[in-house]
Amino acid sequence: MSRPEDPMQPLPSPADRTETEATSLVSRTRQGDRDAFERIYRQHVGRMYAVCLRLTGDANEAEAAVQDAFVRAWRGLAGFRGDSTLGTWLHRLAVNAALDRRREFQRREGRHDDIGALQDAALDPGLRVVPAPPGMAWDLERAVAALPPGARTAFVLFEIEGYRLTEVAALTGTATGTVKAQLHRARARLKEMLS
Amino acid sequence: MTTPCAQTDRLQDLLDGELDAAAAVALQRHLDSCPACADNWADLQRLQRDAAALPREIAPGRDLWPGVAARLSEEAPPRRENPVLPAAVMSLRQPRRALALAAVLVLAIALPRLLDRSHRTADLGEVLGDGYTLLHDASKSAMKQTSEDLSAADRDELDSGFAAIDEAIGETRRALRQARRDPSLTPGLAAGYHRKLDLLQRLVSRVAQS
Repeated sequence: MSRPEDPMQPLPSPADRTETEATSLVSRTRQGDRDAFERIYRQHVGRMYAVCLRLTGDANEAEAAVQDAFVRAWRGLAGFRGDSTLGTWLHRLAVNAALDRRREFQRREGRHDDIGALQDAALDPGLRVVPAPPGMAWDLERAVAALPPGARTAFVLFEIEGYRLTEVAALTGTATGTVKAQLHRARARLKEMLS
Repeated sequence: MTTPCAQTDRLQDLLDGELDAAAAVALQRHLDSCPACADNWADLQRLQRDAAALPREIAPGRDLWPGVAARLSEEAPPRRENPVLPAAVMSLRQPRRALALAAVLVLAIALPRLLDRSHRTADLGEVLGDGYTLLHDASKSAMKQTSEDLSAADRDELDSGFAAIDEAIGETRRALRQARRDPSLTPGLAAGYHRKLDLLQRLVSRVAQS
């Protein structure tokens, strides 16, 4: 039989309950409980996949990045001190995993880093507006996927995910001014594609 | 079709709140009299609204958990505190292990102080340069002293890990040299240092457990 609730005690808010559950799942995962970690996975995979898909523009790469991120989370939970929420921490792991995969792809392909390349975006013939496939109107999601990688990263992290310019700069290892230029370029391209 | 306007480029600064109050008011007034900028402004605002309205979650096309679980089966369970150092101390049997551990301990103590100083000083390059050199030398030393105790796969993984982190640190340091007073770069550099320190700790852990 459960104890009656103390009417003088305020009920925990949904946010408190979520935080408490997250703390419990983290604690159990640290003891090697795979079921607890799978619960964490189920709760956060949609959010992590969304950002990875938008950053990579490719479903296979996004899936691989999400898996990388969860393996890193498993390894890193010992060091997770709760300074941010679990969701925020996982989200950053996903962003880093997606960006790492893209860097690795570019390194394999011998391509220039897109951050540097975007500094010369105005001169880059690759930045011409991509024509829409016949019979298909551009929607915003498709248009974002068609952006050059650096512009896409800036737009996704700033406009969709809500990171500040300085945070985007830190995540991508570039200067704030460069991120701003990439963001402006992305908006200009998207306006053209969507008009 | 509207005629291009010289003020158009500043609209995105207005959207991002990057203009000072006087410049923002002036540009807002300009919008009332410039159809080209007014059209652009409406497009930018619509784009921002549409971006914010995109779904925050997207379900993957397949369940990714089996793949994650398969990879976890090759991993050691995570641990509560970082018990790497105490465990390593208990199992040190060879002098080179002690040297490697000492390097990591020095870093664990010195690095946060260096990073803290780097946030407060205008001369970021000097302080971060010290930290980088210390970390670089210690990691090379630790790798050299412990390489005989690692499997080839572990060595490859650590080599590639250090290479990737060094590349990221190098990029950030180059950016810092171009914009020395840009404080937004420091967290990225700090993250790079911490990743390297984490990797060093794992290196010592593996050697201690071998």
